[in-house]
Amino acid sequence: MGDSAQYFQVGFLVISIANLSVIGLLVLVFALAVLLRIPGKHPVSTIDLPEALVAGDPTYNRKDPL
Amino acid sequence: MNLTTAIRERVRRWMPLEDLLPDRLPAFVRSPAYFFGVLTLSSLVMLIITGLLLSAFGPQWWHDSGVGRFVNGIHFWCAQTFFFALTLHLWTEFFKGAWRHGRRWTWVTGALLFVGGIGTAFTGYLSQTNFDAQWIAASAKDALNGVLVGAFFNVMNFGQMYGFHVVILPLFLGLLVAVHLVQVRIRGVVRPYALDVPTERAREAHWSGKLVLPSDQVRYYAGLRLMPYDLIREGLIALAFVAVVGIVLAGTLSSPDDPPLTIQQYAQEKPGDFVTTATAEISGTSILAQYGPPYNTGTGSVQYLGPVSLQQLGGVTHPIDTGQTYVLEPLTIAAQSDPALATALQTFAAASADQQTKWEDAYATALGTATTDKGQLTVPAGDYGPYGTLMNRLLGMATSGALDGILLRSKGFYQNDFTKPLLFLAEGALPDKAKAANLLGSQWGMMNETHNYPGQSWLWLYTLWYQLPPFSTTAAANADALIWLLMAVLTLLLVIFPFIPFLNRLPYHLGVHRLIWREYYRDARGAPGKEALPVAPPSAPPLVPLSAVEQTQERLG
Repeated sequence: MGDSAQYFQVGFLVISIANLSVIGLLVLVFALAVLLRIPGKHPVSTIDLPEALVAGDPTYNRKDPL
Repeated sequence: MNLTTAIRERVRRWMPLEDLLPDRLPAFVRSPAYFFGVLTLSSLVMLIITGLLLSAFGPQWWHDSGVGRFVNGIHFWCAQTFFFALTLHLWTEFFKGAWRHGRRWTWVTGALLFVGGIGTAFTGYLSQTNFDAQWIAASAKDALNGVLVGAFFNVMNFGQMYGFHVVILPLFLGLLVAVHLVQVRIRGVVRPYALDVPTERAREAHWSGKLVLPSDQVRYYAGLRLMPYDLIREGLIALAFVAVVGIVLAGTLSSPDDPPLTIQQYAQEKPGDFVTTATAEISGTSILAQYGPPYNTGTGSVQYLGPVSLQQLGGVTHPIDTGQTYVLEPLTIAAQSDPALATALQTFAAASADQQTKWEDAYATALGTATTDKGQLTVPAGDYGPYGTLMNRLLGMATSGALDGILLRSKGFYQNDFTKPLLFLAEGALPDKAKAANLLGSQWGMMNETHNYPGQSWLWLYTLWYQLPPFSTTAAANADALIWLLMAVLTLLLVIFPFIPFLNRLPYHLGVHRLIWREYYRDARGAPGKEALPVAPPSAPPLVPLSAVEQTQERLG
């Protein structure tokens, strides 16, 4: 970190390597956030299934307090 | 009417604790994209904690003490995590179309937080009292002067910038954060886009109207699975995460803090350059002497938007007569104990303007062949009248540090306005040092940080334009005014984006939401072997069948 600032240049666009790294990391984290999932247990379904369907669905968590 | 009762009942109806601190969230909340809001808030908490410490102990502490530098480092890195998380929060909320179903003003307060955060960070960088702060101030002053703002917002006034950074803007941000959080909790997180456009439009029409309280979240989420969720625990984990990141980065990478440049240092290292600058100031040929508002009535750095100059509208609010300020007034003070200097000053003052100019020109020409040895400037003999004595004494005052002190003086005992010495240094000394640090020109100093530390990368969209034609070519003379006007318009569009017809549907067409909520769309379309689920069909008044509401309420007990 102690040297003079280094830059990345494409044509007339110039940006410091440090700032470019931050922006690149932003894009990477954004992509991961969209693609990955919060670890841990989740309800089997994101929606409330009608009772008629629930009755025949072995994956439906009947003990779910909700 | 009892106002206390009325307000209490209204707060109770509009902000029930069950909504402000819910222990259940919709089960479609599965993406880390939902973390960035709480990470932003956690970074803000860390900034407040470290900022309070920095304020309590003051600038000397954060420059000279090991502990102070460490806390300053945490503050620096938490500013980075704040904008990192805030930018991601803004992106993810954009792709979710988070302003839908009555949340437009939530977006507005969030966007204003982004803008206010930029202002707060900017004034923080200006308050560092180091070389970075000097260079950012020197780089930014032209932009702010060009759009009138510089007339009353002086980036070279440490006292003003520090006040903005630690009081005014944090209060503004704190208020916005409180309003934003209440808005988020009253409405809850937005539902995924409906499977079909007519349903989504009907849902928008229904929920963008007035809320029917107090059970609207129950109705809004009807048909959706809710799951247990611990918001407070999530907040504490996020706070711990940001604290660890800030502490580790401050501990391993420290933070940039190059010492400020002084006139004394400038005069000692480059006496010839110092005297050349001083000569330009008294002869009225310097950049500053011809600058224009807010420093004088010149036109050299005045910018225009078409036929209009906002810069001139502001007038001269920080008057500086360069010859008097940087040469004659300091020498007059020194002449009180220096008879030879007093005589030289009298001779110079008694001479005609033409004669003064001849002396100054002759001396300026001779400076081209002047020599420097161990900080001593030797100018070849010539017909300079008293001017050689004046410059010799001024150089002596500068190398002793007296000129730094004189330029800082004001009517008060405490000095915190660095406008005069900084403007003098901005004539050449600061750009030279910035050039040596590779911070010049098309890289635009306001965004950059010394060495290889990340700077204000969140200003990239603002600084990008300076590198693009015509701002970098034919319109360069008015680039500040033009770019800041352009960015003001773009920032306004960002703030009011939810209110712009057609454009506010852009996230739906971009389709990123299908990745964020992919489980919801999988479930809503129906798993293999099941029929498609009737999720809020357009024919079901008012989008949510009453039976679904009853079912949900029954489950909630």
